[in-house]
Order: sequence, then C-alpha cells, then structure tokens
Amino acid sequence: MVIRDGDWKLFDHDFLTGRSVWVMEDGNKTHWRTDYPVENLVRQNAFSRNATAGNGFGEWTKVASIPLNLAHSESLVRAHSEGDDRYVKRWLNDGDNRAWRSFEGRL
Amino acid sequence: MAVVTNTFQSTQAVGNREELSDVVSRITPEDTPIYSLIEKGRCVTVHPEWETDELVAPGANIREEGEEYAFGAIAPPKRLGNYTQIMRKDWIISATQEVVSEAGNVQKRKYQKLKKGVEIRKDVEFAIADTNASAGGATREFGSLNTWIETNVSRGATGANGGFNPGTGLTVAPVTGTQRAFTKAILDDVMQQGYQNGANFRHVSVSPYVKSVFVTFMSDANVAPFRYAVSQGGERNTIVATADYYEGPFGTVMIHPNRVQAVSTGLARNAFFIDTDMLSFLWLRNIQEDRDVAKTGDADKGVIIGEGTLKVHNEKGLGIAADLFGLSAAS
Repeated sequence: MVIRDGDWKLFDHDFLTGRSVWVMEDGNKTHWRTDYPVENLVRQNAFSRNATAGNGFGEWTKVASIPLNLAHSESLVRAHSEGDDRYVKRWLNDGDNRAWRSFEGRL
Repeated sequence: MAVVTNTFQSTQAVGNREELSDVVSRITPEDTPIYSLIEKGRCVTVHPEWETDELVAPGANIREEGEEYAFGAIAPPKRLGNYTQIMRKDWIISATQEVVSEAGNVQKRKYQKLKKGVEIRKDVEFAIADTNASAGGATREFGSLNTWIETNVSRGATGANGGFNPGTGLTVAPVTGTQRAFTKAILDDVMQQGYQNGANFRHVSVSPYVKSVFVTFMSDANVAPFRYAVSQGGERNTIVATADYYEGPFGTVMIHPNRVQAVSTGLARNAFFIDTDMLSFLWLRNIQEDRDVAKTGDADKGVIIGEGTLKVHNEKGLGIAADLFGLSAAS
C-alpha cells in the first residue's frame, strides 16, 4: 500500500517516534522530506524548564532535547564532535531555540 | 572568492545524478548514529593495520648524585588491524512488473535501490554495534566496537573483556555478564575511567530504552529534584527521538538513541561512549550499485555492495557500559 501526501510518497515511518520520511520524484531529482512530531517534545521541554526553574546545575543536567533531524541539519552533532562548544552553546543560548531547552540557565 | 556572474553551478543544475551513498547519508543520518558520527576514510587492502603507542604512567623520579646510568627497555608500539567485511543487498524484479502501472511504483528498480541503500547502511551500523569478533579468510568480518573496548569498561557480574589479540591479529568477543539496570553510578564509572585514560567522550549511543533511563538521572537525589509528566493518553513519547545534551561532571555529552541497537537484546545491552576522533570507518569499496550484473531471463536484477572495516584508532578513547537492561526493565 502506498500512502500519499499530494505528490509525496511515504518512504519510512517509525511508530515509536512518529518520524516519517517522504519522497517525491519530479522527473529529474528525488526530493526528501522528514517530518517529526514535535508538539509533545516542545511541551515536555517547557514542562522541565518550569519544573527546574531556579535550580543550579547539578550533576548530569539535561540541558536540551533537540529533534534528531534538527541536531544534524543545524550541524550541532558535528560541532559537538569537533569540540566546538562555543558554537553549540551559542545555539542553545539563542532565544530562538528556547523550545528545545529543557533547563534554563546560560551555558 | 567571488564567482563570475552567470557561472553555471552544479547547485543550479537539475539533471545531475545524485550518487547513491550520498543520497542515503543525507536522508538518514539519525538512523545510524555511530556510523554517521565517525569519519569515513579509504583503505587499500582487506586488512588495514595501524599502531598505537603510549607514555608510561607517571611515577616517582628521584636519582642519586653521581649515579651510573641504567637504561630501561623500550616497549614496542602495539600493532593493530581489522579485516574488511563485504556487505550486500540484492533484488530481482520481473520485466513485466518494471513496466506495469503500479500504485506508488513501490516495486520498481529505482525505489528498491534507495530502500536497499538505506538498509545496507543500517547493516553497517549493526556490524559496528554487534558482538562479532574479527575474522580473516574469504568470509572476512570486521571486529565490532564491542570486541575492541577493554579499558573504559563497566560489565555485569561474570562479564569479561574481549579485546585485540596481537598473537592472532584478531579481536576476541567479550563474555556477556549478568544484566543489570543502567544507573548513574555505571555512567559515572565509565566517564571517570575515560577521563583518567585520556578519552574525551562527546557522544553516547544507546538503545531508546536506555536513553529513557538516562532522563531519570535528573531525578537522582544529588541532582535537582524532578518529576516527569507521563505523556497524555495515546500520545507519542517523542522524547526518544531527540538528541539530549547533558552537562555532566566530565564535560558535556550528547545522548543519541540508536534504533539499530533496539533490534535485539544482544545489541541493546551495550551503551557506547564515543570520542569521534578515535574511530573511523574505512571503505575498500564504497557502497555502490553493481551495474554489470549479467541479465538472464525476463527479469531485472540489482545488487548494492560495499566492503569496509572499522578502524579503532585507540580503544582507550572509547568506552562501554555493557550488560544493561536495554529493551525494558527486565530484558
């Protein structure tokens, strides 16, 4: 069975995480699209931010939960591997990325 | 440097062919966390070898006045090696099926090629994360990560390290121990061993269940007290599909859920601590389509094949917490 979303065709779906990969052929090129449901994650992150508000950094503080595709496409994984902590921390401290932070506090 | 106006760049072209392994790497880096993290290189033999050398541990160094010199022996560097492994995916589609109008073209060649490309990459990840020792000969096999690591290790009772055997030139599979729950003590133990041995763990690859256990460490008595809301009825627990960034006592680490490790208890029982500088994957033959498969009969055959090996630059830069309950609280 083929599941379609307009011209897009479902390539892969992960029931555990809800991640789905879609593919579209336009004759010359193959286009890919990955959908992640993040509503729950944003809410969970907001919940942890609120619950830990005012706490200091302890041992093993989860600072952020970032959707996997975003972590790769924003080069966070690569920057972290290469030891470019300044880049990663700047990204995490950026107010635009607050949705992925699960602990307040400047890194 | 500036580009001269009207230079036609490959990024503007629409008809350029995309190479299979590139396409596959781009769409699914998160499917194969360890393989995606590490550097990819080339090798030119089926048995690439390398050496590791180390400093003697520091000690007291006090000499008497006028003392005659004595000379210590030099320990030769260790010579290590791994064998390449051939991985293959294949399919055959009848010529009629290739041309009939079919909903979604799921059974067509191009689609199969993409699908098998994704699958073979996951097989590479599987081979890195499983517990197979290296083997030479015609059916070669590379020693998995698990078989190399013997320094920064936490194993269950009766578990024993494998490691590289310089006599045979092969790695030895570790002995599995009694399974136990993943705890902060195990985590800190491996992190500390790594720190003392000069490792710089940046990433941890675990089964999705172990990653969910990780989150509960925040509720540890020594850490900020914390309770998690149970996800509301029927909603997905999206927390497993994330890279979590932790500030820990030994630096910051990123925790990756590895779905390939969730395939079986054998793979799920290990948590790998990775310094990406200490690991690379060498391709003797990159994953590619064999375009010269002889056509016989009224069908179209396809083969994707690759041959490569895992290079563990120095196992002291890597760590493992083995024998964990990796799929559930009791398995």
